[in-house]
Amino acid sequence: MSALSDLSMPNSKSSSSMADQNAAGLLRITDLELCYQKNAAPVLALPTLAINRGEVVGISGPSGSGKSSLLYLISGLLRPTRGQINWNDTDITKLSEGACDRWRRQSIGFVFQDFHLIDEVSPLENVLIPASFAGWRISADTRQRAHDLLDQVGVPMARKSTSDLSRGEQQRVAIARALLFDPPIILADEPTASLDDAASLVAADTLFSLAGPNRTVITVSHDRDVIDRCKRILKFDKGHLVDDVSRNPAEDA
Amino acid sequence: MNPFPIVMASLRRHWIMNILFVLLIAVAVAIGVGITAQERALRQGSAQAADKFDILIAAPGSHTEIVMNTIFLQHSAVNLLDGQYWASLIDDPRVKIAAPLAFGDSWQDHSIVGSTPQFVDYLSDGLATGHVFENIEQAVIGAAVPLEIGDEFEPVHGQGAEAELEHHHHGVHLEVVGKMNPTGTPWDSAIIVAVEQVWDIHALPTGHDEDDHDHEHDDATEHHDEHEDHDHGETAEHHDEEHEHDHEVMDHIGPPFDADALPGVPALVVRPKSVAAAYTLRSDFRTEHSTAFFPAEVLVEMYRLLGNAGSVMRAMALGSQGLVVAAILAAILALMQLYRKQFAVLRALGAPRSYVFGAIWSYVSILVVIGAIGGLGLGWLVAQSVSAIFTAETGMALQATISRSELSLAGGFILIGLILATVPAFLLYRRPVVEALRNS
Repeated sequence: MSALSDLSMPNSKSSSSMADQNAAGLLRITDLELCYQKNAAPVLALPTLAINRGEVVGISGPSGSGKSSLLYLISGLLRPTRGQINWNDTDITKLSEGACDRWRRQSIGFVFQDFHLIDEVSPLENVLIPASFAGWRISADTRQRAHDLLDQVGVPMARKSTSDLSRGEQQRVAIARALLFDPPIILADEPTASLDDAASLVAADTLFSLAGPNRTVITVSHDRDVIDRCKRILKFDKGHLVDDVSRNPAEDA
Repeated sequence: MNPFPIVMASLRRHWIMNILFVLLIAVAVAIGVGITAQERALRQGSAQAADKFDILIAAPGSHTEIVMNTIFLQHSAVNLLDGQYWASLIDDPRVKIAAPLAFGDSWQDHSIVGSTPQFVDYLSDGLATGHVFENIEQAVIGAAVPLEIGDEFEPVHGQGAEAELEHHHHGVHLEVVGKMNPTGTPWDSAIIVAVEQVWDIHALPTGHDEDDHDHEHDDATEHHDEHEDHDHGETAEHHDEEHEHDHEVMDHIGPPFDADALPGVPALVVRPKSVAAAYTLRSDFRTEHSTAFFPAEVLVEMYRLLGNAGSVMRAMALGSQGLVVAAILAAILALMQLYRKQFAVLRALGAPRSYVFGAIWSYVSILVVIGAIGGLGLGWLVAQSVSAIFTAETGMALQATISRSELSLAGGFILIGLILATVPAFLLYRRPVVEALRNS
């Protein structure tokens, strides 16, 4: 599973464009504010934040502190009330909806608490779902990559029914799905919250194995074990960043 | 963009509900298709049945009743037309064929109709086997009568099971000498004999010199001249007892007739030589004591009534289709709430709104198209079954087919379905993604 960080898209257009972005990969947030109602207090206010390529960032904080909102803002699913979110030279907040969808498909890999796999299709087809967003036919390269990803996350292809997978395996299929287009950013929202301890450990191992010089992992979690494995920890409270700590987990251990 | 993996997954996920949707749509379409196909089959079948009956002349009365009696062989009591009318038509230069239709007897469930050899030949376009009757003890059978050439049968007075139960046998045996070609009309189930046979069996004069035929029932003859009920119910008991036929076989049938000795008949069928002749004949025979009409006139009126009933039924079918569509849309909207999270996740993974719209629209459209095509087939099957039952009951060949109107109906349903499928697609693709994701 440690090889996941090295599993990039072979000879594909998206992989080359992503590689270009990763060369300078920097997520920069400036003067960000999110309000759900006019004149109401912002649910998230972030004067400035920069996340470099290859960073593994853990976001913690109580419920309602704005952690998940930050993930949705970075992915372009939410539009801020004001401020900028730049990925390299692109201001995500200024992208049209179609461009934002395209950017998210190519640059973001989402991992959810409840996996959100489709039980009626096989694990392989689940991994290939994002490929159906862009084109009618799925290329042999993409299909091969999905095979390889499933092998890498330890879900054998012989297991055809997604509903027969354990919860831990389902989360690993979801991680493989997030990696299909080799995105430079992985956003994980409580990735271990629905798993038992053993499965959490495996899923966290898989998730952190994604990190590398070309891929940034940002995870929101209440799981202490997950947060403690991150090199940088952002703590939020009431919509404000209250702590930003960079550390070396290996040294702490 | 290929939303079909999601569409197929959605179809599989709630497959029982999806099958119910398809069945509901199929039944709704089948009702409409069945009604129109059946109505058209009924029109075509009845028009075909009336094809050889250019003009009907009968005693004044309900034209519909006369048509039902003569063309569809659904017998009921009618007044008799004086025999002299036939006599006058035989030599009429405007007439190609003028034949009496005298009924009242049966064998099993098959009507026995007295007429002329010319009419049999005209009706059947020549016989399939055998020859036409040459005396009053011979009969020609329709294509659906379960008898063969050479078989003998005993006519019973009256019609149907009641006639069999009451056993009003005439005491004569008739021999089958010919079989008609299939006509696809109730006449396929009929047995045709010489009209003189019907008169003779009911102790009426036969229009020929009495010396030809040694009757022993003068009393009964007098009685029959007065009665006007063709089924002879009131007199049956008299002549069943009195009229044991010990007469010689009457060799001569058909013209020339003694006009004064021709008994009344329920109706005459006339084939004119020209269209102009048809109209003058119809006009000439509309008198105080007779009526003449084209069966098509009656059929048109029947079609009008049928059309009205059909319109009501079609409106009801349309209403039921509307209800089905509304019910399915409501159910799908409810179902889509369950899918809301799934589509939000797809959006988070990079699916454009159009993908979500396409997936939901395709899902509903597939249900509509499968249901409508199934309904087309189901409607055709129902119409075929009803036609088969109707044919078995009446002998009138009905052929329910799927034509442009049924295809239009199903196509219209599909079109409306495809348009309405945009409603859930539109409602769901606009839903905020984050709100759905937060409700994990």
